[in-house]
Amino acid sequence: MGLTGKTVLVIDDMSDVRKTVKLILESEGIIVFLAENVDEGLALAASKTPHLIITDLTMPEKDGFDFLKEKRKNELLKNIPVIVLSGRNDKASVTEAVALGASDYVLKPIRAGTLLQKARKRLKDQSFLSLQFKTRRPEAEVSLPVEVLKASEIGLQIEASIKLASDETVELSGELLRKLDCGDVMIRTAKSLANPVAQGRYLNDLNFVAIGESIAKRIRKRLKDWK
Amino acid sequence: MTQNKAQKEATLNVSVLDDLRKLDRSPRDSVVTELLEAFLSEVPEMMRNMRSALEAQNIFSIRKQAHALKSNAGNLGADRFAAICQNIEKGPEALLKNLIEELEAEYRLVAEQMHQQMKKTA
Repeated sequence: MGLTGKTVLVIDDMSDVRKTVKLILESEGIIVFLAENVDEGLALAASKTPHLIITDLTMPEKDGFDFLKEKRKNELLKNIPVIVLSGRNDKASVTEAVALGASDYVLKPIRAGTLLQKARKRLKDQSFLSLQFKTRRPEAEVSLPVEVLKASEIGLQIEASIKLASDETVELSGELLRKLDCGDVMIRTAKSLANPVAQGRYLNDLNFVAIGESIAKRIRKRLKDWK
Repeated sequence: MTQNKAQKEATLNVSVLDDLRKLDRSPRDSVVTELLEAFLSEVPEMMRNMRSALEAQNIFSIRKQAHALKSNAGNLGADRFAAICQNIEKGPEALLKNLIEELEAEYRLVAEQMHQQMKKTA
């Protein structure tokens, strides 16, 4: 599967690691953002909302565990998968990283094949993107994984074709949004994540964040009921 | 025991560099060359710092340097160098002086082989 256009944030205090990981990921057409410490990583994660984050554990000042803790407290970032890339091969580090939400743990030294295989797996999990609606009815506040087929923006009206996980295509037109009473449609995309109520202004960015399947079922049902 | 394990490793595991070269789309594998150049320019200073820490008996600093060097070397296939770093990072204090000397000697071999690799690319 092509990974072209997927985005990955790499956090590591060592410049050689950043360069090596960048070389490996860019060979697959992945867009790579680099951070050399946790704070820079959190800021970049919020502004770029990458599809995947790869972080080191041992870093001066804040370490990878601090990153995982702060990331999971952050509504906008908590669903982004994280691969830990560390030289720490003790059971305690692995257990703690996983407990704090790491999806995978890759041991240094970096081996191109292994890293690509793990990154590919995590990026593949996100072939469905998500779109969040915040409607005036609190009970209808939902998210769903969708594949955006077409998206455009006319003023503040949003038009998009989305393919639901069930392979059913729904035209997400202004009319449907009105039916859904989506006065405050919240499209969470890469850029609007930093400023979530974006009224579709960033819809062309097509870079949504993956959300769980149970919530997706709710919106799928609502879309059917209300269409 | 750990010493012997380090001896079994290659000074430069060329397959690691070859794998990186295969991915490198830049002209003349310049990213790999850049990584090797960075290693050769940064590591001597890190080793000098380690030597100073040894003289100051700053064990914490020695182990920290060893951790950083281990990653640096391992990523480029300097496996024996990385294994010695691992021994410095985890091994008993009494062995540190010998291990650091061993590392310095190994560095000379690594540097020589890396220079050859760079010539191959240029």
